[in-house]
Amino acid sequence: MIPKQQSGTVPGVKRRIRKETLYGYGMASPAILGFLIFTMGPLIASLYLSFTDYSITNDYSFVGLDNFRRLFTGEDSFFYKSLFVTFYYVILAVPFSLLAAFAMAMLLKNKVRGRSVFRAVFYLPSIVPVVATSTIFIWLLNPDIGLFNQILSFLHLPTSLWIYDEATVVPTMAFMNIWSVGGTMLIFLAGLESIPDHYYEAVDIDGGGMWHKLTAVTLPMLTPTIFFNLVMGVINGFQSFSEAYIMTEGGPNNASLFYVVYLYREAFTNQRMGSASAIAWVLFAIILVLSLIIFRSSKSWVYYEGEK
Amino acid sequence: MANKRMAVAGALLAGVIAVAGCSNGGAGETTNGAEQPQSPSKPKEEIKLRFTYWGSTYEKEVISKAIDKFTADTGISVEGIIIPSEYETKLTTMIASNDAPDVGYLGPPTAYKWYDDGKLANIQTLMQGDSGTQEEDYIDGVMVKKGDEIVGLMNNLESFALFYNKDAFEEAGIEAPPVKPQDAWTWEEFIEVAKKLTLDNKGRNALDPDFDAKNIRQYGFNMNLWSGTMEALLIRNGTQYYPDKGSETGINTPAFNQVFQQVADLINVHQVMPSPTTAKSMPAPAVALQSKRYAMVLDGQWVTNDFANSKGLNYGIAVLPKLTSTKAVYSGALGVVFADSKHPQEAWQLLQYITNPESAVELFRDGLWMPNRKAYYTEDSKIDIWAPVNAARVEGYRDVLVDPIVEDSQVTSEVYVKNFGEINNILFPALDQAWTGKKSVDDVMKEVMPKITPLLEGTIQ
Repeated sequence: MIPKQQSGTVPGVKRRIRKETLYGYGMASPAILGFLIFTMGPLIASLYLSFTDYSITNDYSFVGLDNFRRLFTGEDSFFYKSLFVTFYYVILAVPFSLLAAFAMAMLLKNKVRGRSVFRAVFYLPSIVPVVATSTIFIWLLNPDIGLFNQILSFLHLPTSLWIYDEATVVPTMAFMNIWSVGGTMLIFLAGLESIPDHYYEAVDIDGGGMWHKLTAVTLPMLTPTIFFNLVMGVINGFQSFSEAYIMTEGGPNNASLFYVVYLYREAFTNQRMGSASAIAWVLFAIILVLSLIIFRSSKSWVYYEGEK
Repeated sequence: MANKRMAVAGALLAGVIAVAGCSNGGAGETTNGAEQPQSPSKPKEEIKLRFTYWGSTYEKEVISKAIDKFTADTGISVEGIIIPSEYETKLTTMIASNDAPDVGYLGPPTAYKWYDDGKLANIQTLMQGDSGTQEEDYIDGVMVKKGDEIVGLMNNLESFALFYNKDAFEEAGIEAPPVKPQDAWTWEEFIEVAKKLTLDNKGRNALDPDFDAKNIRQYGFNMNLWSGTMEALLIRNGTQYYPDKGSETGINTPAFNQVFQQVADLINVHQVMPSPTTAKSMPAPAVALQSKRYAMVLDGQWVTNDFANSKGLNYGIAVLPKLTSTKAVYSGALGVVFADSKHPQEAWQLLQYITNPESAVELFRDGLWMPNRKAYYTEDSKIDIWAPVNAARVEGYRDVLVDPIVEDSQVTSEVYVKNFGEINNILFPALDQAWTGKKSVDDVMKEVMPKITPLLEGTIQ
């Protein structure tokens, strides 16, 4: 016999469920409203505006695909340049930072004394505001009095112009990016810790060394984490803005004109909002396509425990 | 049950606070919300103007004082809103939210654009309904026009001069540079002097055969590389972006390229000027000149305000070297009245008031501004109001900056060249290659002309 208070009457249960549902929506409503008003609404508006010549102060008119055509036919001379610069940066920065984060995570996995201190220290740079980081790096990278060149010349190595030379500015920024891999490293660490020890013991039993442990156990088990970090890295890499805007403003000679810097310039310096919206949606399309490619390819190299 | 209610109430409260917090927070000292509409039931209308401007904290102080004097004199209250950076972005946002001010500063290219979009009032009509100043009272070109309509009024004039550290000249045993335009140095004479003033860390100057260019502790000369300073030199070579406001562009003509090449050579050939990357790590002109990072600097006359406040800086003013002419260039930000203003006549009154040297004396006397009215350049008594010999207006100021404005000058291209900003956005980044000595200016110009040509739409008549 089910006690009365546990079963309740059928209408009573329904009422309670409905009340809980309402409470749920009520609690979530600020977030939902916020998303609709501040994210979804402007998104749709910007999609519409990308087909106009809106510049805030004018009576804008519909121009169809003109904004997009201007970009792709090269009429706007900076579009392809900024795409190239951004792709170049992503190709350098993403593998770089993944490797660096992985290496750091491997080191921090070991049970050494003061491990929690080390973990905090390695994570700290990623929460320093980007503006502060960029300003300090401007000083460090100064060709004449900056610390990096001083160390290089002390070691009798050739110095570099770092961010002031067209050829070296993007590699320098990719290199700078490593400084803030704390978040990625943390995720790698979590992934590493979740690998069961008995796999490593199995390698030991079979007579394998460190290399086998790495390639036969660690990397395959880590592929979901790598996959996640890769997708996030690519998405963030394409949206890279602050470092370039603060340190070089797109220079020298547009060699560090990252896509979002170009977008910002078109929107706020040239005040061509319609064109800028078009640029933004092109970026969306690019990142979407790349993410889809990575997702599709993941079937062949990502291993999820528990799959057949 | 009580806990649940509390939780829901708490969540909804948090939501309301979040939405309220996300609303127009503003930056710095701006106002929130729209202007209060005048209620018809009020017997006496209290007129309130909103005036936006940019500037340093010092400018804010002086302008606030001028605004207070205006209110005391006329009874019209003014809310001064300072926007120290990203001025046009902020203003655009204000216009977009129908929260535009009544009157404010604006750069000429944006002023034309907004005038065409109907956001600015035609000052010509305001002047007709007013017994105040008339067009002839102002220096030519101060009234920025489009046909017969007046888009804006240059609040103040700015021009460029050569400033130098007197101690550095004494130590090198060089006599002071000339102040009268007819005595101006030629470019070669200028290079000679600059070389004598460029010292390496062992005290050798640039004429010395053992000069060590890798360890320069004092440069002879510096200038910021932007359209303003370059224009001051271009005009002295008889050229401009559109010489004489004509329809033929001066860009990529030999005279035009020559000026840029000569500046690039100062950096790379004569080594009397720091490269832009080195200059980036130098402090502000007042400090750099005082600490003799460089002995001479070509800059806008607004720096005299900083120089005057730098104790221990013994500086002089000199006329720019001449190339083929001694013409001076002048520029200035525009004061505009916004079309949606409810009190355009009063807004125009405020503009006239603030730009009158006698109502905002400090701004002019302390170095920041030059007047926009003719009388203040021609009548001695009026000149003494804003340019007596003082720390900001040293000996020679009249010869270098005051007399040329009425005798031989031209207004900046910024005011009448279409797409001036976009052209420079393409030109100056490309010139980085010339400043580093990688390419000659002619090669850089060949490279960028295809991109610039579509933007060459002529001048605004």
